[in-house]
Formats: sequence, C-alpha cells, structure tokens
Amino acid sequence: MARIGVFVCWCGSNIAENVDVVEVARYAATLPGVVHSVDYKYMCSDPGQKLITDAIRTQHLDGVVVAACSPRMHEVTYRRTVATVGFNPYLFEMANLREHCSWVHENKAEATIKAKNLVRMMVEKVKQNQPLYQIQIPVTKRALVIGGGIAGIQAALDVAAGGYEVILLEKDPSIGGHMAQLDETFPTLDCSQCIMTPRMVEIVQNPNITLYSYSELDALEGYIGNFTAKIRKKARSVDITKCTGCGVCQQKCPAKVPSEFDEGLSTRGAIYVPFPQAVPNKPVIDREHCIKFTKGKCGLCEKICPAGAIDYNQQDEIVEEKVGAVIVATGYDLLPKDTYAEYGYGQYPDVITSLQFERLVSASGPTNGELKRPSDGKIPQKIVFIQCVGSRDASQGRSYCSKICCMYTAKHTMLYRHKVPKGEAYVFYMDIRAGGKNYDEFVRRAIEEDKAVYIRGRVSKIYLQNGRMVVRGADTLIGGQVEIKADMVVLATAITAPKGIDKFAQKLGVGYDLHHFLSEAHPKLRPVETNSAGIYLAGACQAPKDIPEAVAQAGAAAGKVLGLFGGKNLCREPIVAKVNESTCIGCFICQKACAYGAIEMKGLKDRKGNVIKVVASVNTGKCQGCGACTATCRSNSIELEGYNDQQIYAQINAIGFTND
Amino acid sequence: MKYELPRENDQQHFMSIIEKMSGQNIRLCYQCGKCSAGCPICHEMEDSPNQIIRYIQLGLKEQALSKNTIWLCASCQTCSTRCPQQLDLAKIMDSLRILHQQESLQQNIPFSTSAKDFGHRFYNSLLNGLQMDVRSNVNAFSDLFLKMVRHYGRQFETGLIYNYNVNSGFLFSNVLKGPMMLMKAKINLIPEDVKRREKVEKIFSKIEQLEKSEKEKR
Repeated sequence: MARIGVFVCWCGSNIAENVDVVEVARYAATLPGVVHSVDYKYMCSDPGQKLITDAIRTQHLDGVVVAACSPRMHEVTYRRTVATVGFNPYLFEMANLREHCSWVHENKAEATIKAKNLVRMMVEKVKQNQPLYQIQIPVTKRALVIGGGIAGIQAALDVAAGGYEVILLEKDPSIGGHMAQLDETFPTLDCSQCIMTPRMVEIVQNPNITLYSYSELDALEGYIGNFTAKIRKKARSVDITKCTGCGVCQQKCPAKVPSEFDEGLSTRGAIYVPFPQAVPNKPVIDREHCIKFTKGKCGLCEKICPAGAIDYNQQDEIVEEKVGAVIVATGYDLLPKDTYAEYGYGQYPDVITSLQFERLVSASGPTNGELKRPSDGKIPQKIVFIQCVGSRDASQGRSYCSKICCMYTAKHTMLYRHKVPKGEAYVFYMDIRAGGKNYDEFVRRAIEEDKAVYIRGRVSKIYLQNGRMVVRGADTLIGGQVEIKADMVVLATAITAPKGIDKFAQKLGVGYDLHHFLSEAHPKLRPVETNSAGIYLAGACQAPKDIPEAVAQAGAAAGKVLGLFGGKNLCREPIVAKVNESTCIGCFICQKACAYGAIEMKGLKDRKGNVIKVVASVNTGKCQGCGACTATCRSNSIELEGYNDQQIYAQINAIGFTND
Repeated sequence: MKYELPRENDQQHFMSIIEKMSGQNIRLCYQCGKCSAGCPICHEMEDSPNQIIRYIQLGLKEQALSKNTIWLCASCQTCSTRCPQQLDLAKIMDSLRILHQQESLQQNIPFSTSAKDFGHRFYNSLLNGLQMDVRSNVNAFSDLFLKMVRHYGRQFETGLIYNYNVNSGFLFSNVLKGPMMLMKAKINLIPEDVKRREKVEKIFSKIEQLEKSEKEKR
C-alpha cells in the first residue's frame, strides 16, 4: 500500500481566496493511499518546505503531492526540497491549484471541487511513479564560435578567458566584421578601429583560440556537449605558412574588383587583403575575378611573390572539430541596392548608404577620411540623411525597426559638421529612438550643438533638377511639403538578416523568425539560448543591435558556455523517451516525428554478433521529452519517462472516480 | 487651433464608416508623411493628406470633410503606391468625397449647374478675389462630365470646357489653349456621332432609378 503525503498550499490568498484549501486537505486525507495531508500558507517558504521534509522522515512517505502553483514556478524548488532528505525527486508531483484553478475560476464551491479532482489525479499518478535518476552526459569542453565580427570576437575571447579552447570561424578573409568598417562610434565618438583592432590581434595571440578565416561550416552533427563540426577551409590559393604578408601581390594584381570593405567605393585586386589591419594579414585569391582562374592567363602574382607562397592548385579542405557548444554570431547585411527606386539608390552616384558614408569619413577609407562625394569628388555642402529606409516599412516586407539608425545618423551629422563646419545637415526622421545610456543626450547634441536640422517626415522622392538632386519630403509638424537641394543623400538602410541564413539555421537546427533573424529560446528569460540545446546566439543575427548590446550578448552567451563547461558532466532531467526494444518493429515513424533528431537506429545483435533486428534508440542528449514519438509509435514501444501510459491512464481514470 | 476630441464611440464610428467604405484599416497609418511628400497637389491643399488621415483617426469628421484637400486629390495614387503601410489613400479620399456628397444630398443641399446658381457663383468668385470654390467646381465638373456623356453618348470635350467655364464663373480660363488643341485635334468643334446612343441613356436612367430606390429605402 502506498504511503503518500499531500501538501496543500494557500499561496497567501492567491489560492485560498477562491479554493477552500482546508477542505481540500481534509478531503485528500480520505483518499486511498494518502497517509498525511496538511495545508499551509506558503508551502514554498522555509517552514513550508520543512513540513514536507519532516513528513517524509516521520511518515516514511513513498510519494509526495504538493498542491500549489504551476510546476513551471516551483517544481524545481520542491524537487530540491525532497532530495535533501534522500527522497527521489521524481516520486514527487505537483497539482496546479493556482494557474489551473483559483486564478481562472470565480465560484469558490466549484473551484474547490476542481481542486479536489486535480489533487486526486496527482495522487493516482504518483502511485505509478518510479524513481528516476539524472542523466549524465560527458561534455567536450571546446566551443565553436561562428562569425568573426565584434560579437563573435568578444564571445571567443570570453570563453577563452575561462580557460577553454575556442574555434573561431570566419567566412571572409579577415575577422572584424562590420565594426571594422566604422569610423567613430556613438555615443562617445571613440574611434572604432582603435577599439576593434586590438581585439582582433588578441584573437591571434590567445593560445586558447584557433582561428579559421575564409572558412565556412559545412555541417554540424551531434548534440549538446558532443557536436562534430565539419568546417570547409576555402582554398586561399596562398600558402599562409610561406606568405610573409609583404603585399607586393595585391599591388601588382591587374584585376579591379569593387572592394567589399569599402562598400564598393574603391577597388581591390583579385588577390587581396581586405584592409591593412586585417587579421590574418595574409591575402586570398578571389577566384571568381582572378584572371588566371577565369581566363587561364596572367599568373603575375606567382611570378613576383618573393616567398613563393602562391598556390593556384590549392583545394578546399574539410576539417572536423569536436566541440561541446556553439555560439552563432553571424551578424547582419544591409538592404539590397535595387530597392527604393524613388530614392535613386544605385542610380544616382551621390545617393549612398550609411555604411558607405562611414567609409567616406573613415581615415582608413578610400578618400583617407576626406569627405568627398563619389560623383565628382567635391566636398558636399548640404547632405540630406534619410532614416527608416527599408525598415518600419510593411510594403517592403520589413515592419521591424532597424534600431541603430537613429543613433548612427545623429553621429553622421556630427562627423559631417566636424569635417565640413559650414555644411548643412538635414535629417528626415519618423521617430527618434534613442533609448540607451547617454543616447538621447547624444541626439540632442547633434541638434543643439552641431546644428543638424531634423525634419519629422518621410521623403517621397529624389529627383534631378539642373543636375542637382532635389529631395522632396514632408514635414508633418508644419503639415506640408519641403524640398531640399542636396549635394549628397545618405540612406539609413535597414539591417537585414544575411542572405541564406535560413538554410544555415536549418543546418544547425535553430529557429528563425519572419525576417530570418535567429530565434532565442525565450525573449526575456533565455535571450541568448536557442531551442537547440548547446547552441547560443550573439549579436545582430538575433535582431538589429548596436555594438554595446552585441558585446553584452556575446558575454552572456560565453557565460552560458562557461556554465556548461564548468561541471564535470552535463546533468539532464531524466524526462526522456525510452524504447521497448523487444516490441519495436523498426518502422522509424518516430524518427520523422522527432523535431530534435534524437531517434537513432540501433542494431540488436545475437551472440555471434549478427544484426538480427534494427530498432529505434533514443539519444538522451538530444531528447527534449516532448513526447511526439510516443504518440506516433504504432506498436506502442516508446514511452516518455515520468509520463508513461500507466501514469497518464491513472490520472485520467481518477477524473471519473470520487469518494465523496 | 484647438479641437475638442469626440467621445471614443463617435471617433470609432466615423473611422469605421470610412474603413467600411474604403476597405482600408485607418489605424495602419503611423503618420510618416510620405503621402504628403509625394503628392503633386499638396501645395494647393488646405491640409496635407496625412493630416486628413489624422482627422479620421481622431474622429474629427467636420475637419476631414470640410477641407479642400479631398476635392483637390486627383487620385493619381502616388500616395497609395508609396505608402509604407500599404494604405490606399486615394480610396480613402474617394470615400470622403462620397460621404460628403451623400450627406449634402440628405441635408437637401443639392448641387446644380443651373443658370441661377451660376450667377451666384460668378458673383462669389468676384467677391473672393477670383478664388475658386473648389468644392462646387469639382462637383460642377463631375456633373457636367456625366451630362456630356449622357447627352452625346461619349465625351464632348469642347462642350465640357464651355459649360464648365460658364458654370465655374471663370469664363476665359484656359481659353488660349483652345486653338492649339484644335489644331492638334485634341478637341473638336462638333461632337462625334455615336451609334445607339439610346443604350447609353438606358444605363443612365437605370442608375438614376437605383439611386432613387436607394434614397427611398433610407
């Protein structure tokens, strides 16, 4: 005969107001198998917990039911409580009298009857419970960070600082990402390069970090603590062990390709280092544009390389790395050029994006920091900045706010006025979103001290009049149209998710939203985790973010990884599926139903080692205990531990049974 | 300027009438002003298009209906094309005009192009320093446009121009453009003959019938 204890919580007045808790406790005592039943005002408090532990000791309980709030709230609390006296935590169950009962009903008498039913169901379930034990999973204590922008760099450095090995993956020839392209950063106007490049150097110097630049992730297999990453090291066509980084090759290369780093405002060779401060500072050959690869002639770089490092026959190399955790920091892209015909983006040379503006004012940019407009190299005397280009625009399919544009546009007006003190800066805005430490003050400074003129309204079109651009917009505050003759127009184009990121996310088993930004597990409480255990997010791949936020999130992701690596093994809840191998017919419908890829094939062998039957087997590292497989199994051979058929049936049968 | 905002129910009521007529969700508008920025006639309007939408959002019916904006709107649809929230403003303007017409008919302020009214309008236009009364002129134009079609079976531009100038009180407006248009055969002195004119007449009388029965129902 079972010896079950029932503990009914008042939750202050939360439950007691709508449920007669004393009556529920009295009733519970009459249920078969219940030897102990009490009520208490706050069961989760220290004295409340003591009631439970004392009862386990003195009454020799073999099952505990706490009738209180949602298991989401306090299941972990009570499991810990019962475990302190050596009681198996999985012989404990919670009946939810708060969210499922007192909070949602008004009639106290009826709510009390429901509360009794809920308690009775749990008492019947707990009678069927078996002790379960936490699953221990070994963890490979190395992390993979995908993306070498500021978020990826920060995450890699933080994990490495914890004493663990990190593999940093970057698809481009150099790490640095978008931040390396920026001139000065808001709200302090400190130089981006000055704070970024030392970090990049740290990556190479840190003995815990292995950098794979010009490399991509081909596949990620495995599960939390035990991933295998297949990394494709793209052929650089340069032997970096021989290359001294002298740079002769890129000076002599006859090919002219628009520079990605300068946002197309300058050209580079087909063999190139993206920018002088690149890490690693070794060139790659862009085979798509190299004359040797496209036409079979040239070969100049091979002839002049003093180190003999050029190797046209280099092949892509696949490397396998075992890692325990993955941080995704794949960053963002900008709106494609062909959108917004009315703004002449891609049509008028002096209509540029904000990132191009950054390059134009940057000391490392194509004009060495002198602000010259692309069409004729003149210094623009009047610049119109247009915010929300492509963001907050449902007609373009992007209803989200790009978040950082208000701030960097304010910064641009300042940088412009500092370079061209007599220049006029106009900003068309819809709303100013400057929520951040010293952010609004920064925007006010742009208006009050640096004399930027802010116009509340959108621009409808930009057209040419006598060879000069005219920006026609509205000022909704005066309720009419305004026209400005501009020398240059800067569009604050929307941050978008990188192209193809959806395929990449599918490769990793990570969710993404409507706009292809990667999804966090919970918007508030699990902001850096994904729904795939062991994969974390950092930076703008999750949503538009500025540098401080990206760095903070990278640190948080690194913290999660360090937490995972800190324990000896990874402990997991034993609520996982379990296959009955003797009845499994090996149809593998469960495999299709499993969203986590946790069902594997397992061959059953006879004594001689011949495979006699192939059955399903659950990888407890991947299983999330959702129960989809148990519902689809045709031969009823998979059960979810803690929620098996007997337990569920006992609960259901208890609904129809009353001993009132 | 000071507006007293109507009670929430009245606000909702006016907005939902316009929403029903135009099939547009007025709440989508976040007042970015791109409609006004692109409007080719904005400079002539008493209130810019986005302000008209704002009136609807706040339920300020009088303001929305009394401005010349809705009559100046040429339905060129630049606003509808460029609206980031995909609102069809031209349709909303249309609805406002229809609503205005319906209500003036109900209040028995019929509009006519009769000779008596002409004298009145001519006098008015002189009085107002030759300022056009946009609303009645737009109405006059629409009215005459249909009258021409009904009478001749298709549009007779010269007749329309003549009648419109007489009616609007601006007798000589655009007259100098006449010879050039005649020379380029854009307009004709004699109306073109249309076969089976009675069929067009039938359409018009059918519409009249429908309108009448609709009115009686109300």
